[in-house]
Amino acid sequence: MPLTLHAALIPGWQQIIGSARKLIDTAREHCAAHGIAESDLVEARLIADMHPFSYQIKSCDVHSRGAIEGVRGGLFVPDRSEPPATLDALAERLDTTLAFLAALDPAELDSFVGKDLVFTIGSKFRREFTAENFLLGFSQPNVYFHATTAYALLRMKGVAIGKADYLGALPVKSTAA
Amino acid sequence: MTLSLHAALVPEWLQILGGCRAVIDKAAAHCAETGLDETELVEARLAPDMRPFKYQIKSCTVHTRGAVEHARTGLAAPDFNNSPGTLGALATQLGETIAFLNELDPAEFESFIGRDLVFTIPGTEYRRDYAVENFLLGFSRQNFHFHAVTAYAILRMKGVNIGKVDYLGAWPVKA
Repeated sequence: MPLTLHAALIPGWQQIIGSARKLIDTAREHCAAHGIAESDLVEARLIADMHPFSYQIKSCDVHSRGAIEGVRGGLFVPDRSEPPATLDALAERLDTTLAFLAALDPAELDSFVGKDLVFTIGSKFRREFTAENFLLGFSQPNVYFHATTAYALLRMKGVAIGKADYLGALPVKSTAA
Repeated sequence: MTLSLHAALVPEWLQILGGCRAVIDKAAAHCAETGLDETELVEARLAPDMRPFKYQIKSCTVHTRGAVEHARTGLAAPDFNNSPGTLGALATQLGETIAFLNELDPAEFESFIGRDLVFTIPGTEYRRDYAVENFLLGFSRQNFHFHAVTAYAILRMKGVNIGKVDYLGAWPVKA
């Protein structure tokens, strides 16, 4: 029995972006409990020349919702806008992402298979993909990359979280059955 | 049009494992150039109570090759084996994992769909029941990425000269 492209991608994104959304609440509680300025977490980086927490969260949206919007038009251009600058604004961004993903029609996702997608940065960088390979082999690893890096930043900053908080709602069989 | 379970998982695992394998070579080159003791990277952690680089790399095998082995038997449990202790041994382990995944038969993968898998932690009451495809798509995959990205993040934090393109490996662009 084969899978739909929707089943292959979207529940995993909802699971991990759902976790990232909760991590933002945990970060807020951490700031309140320890008297830490929010900006300390929002601007946290693993190393000086790396993007901060706010960028990692924003990128979860760019590579999920943004990727789907790109596939619809056949063109993906990275979003270079400034990331939301507060935990509230970051949470709001992921709420938008999650609502968008929840509303996707699996039939629409399946209609993407075999379509062309062009990924460009400026006039010099251009890569061509099929839509499904773009989503599975570019967007997907990027979503996990940025979601895990966001987690790693909070972990490094001493927020009390563990891998279970990253994994979120595991797709176990219903225990009610 | 639909996808096979193999197409949904294995090419991307191979892509990111290839990225991790190349990142280990860059870590070795970094040690050679700067005179840094390789143990400094192998044992590096993001926070003192977090697991080291070697464990992160070992877990990339546990959640890909190990996950397939679990899918075959329907039984899964955490792997408490020691992690390889050198960059060379970690690279060898990833090389074996890549070879294992390259040999997989997509038809065998399809036969996993709808089968049951039980995940337990020996010595505890912990038990979770999955359909195999949900275990692979919703547990193994997330864990795999978690450990692969954390391995990358540790080296990045330690100043090894790598960027996200090293992590992303060979993109599945059109020929």
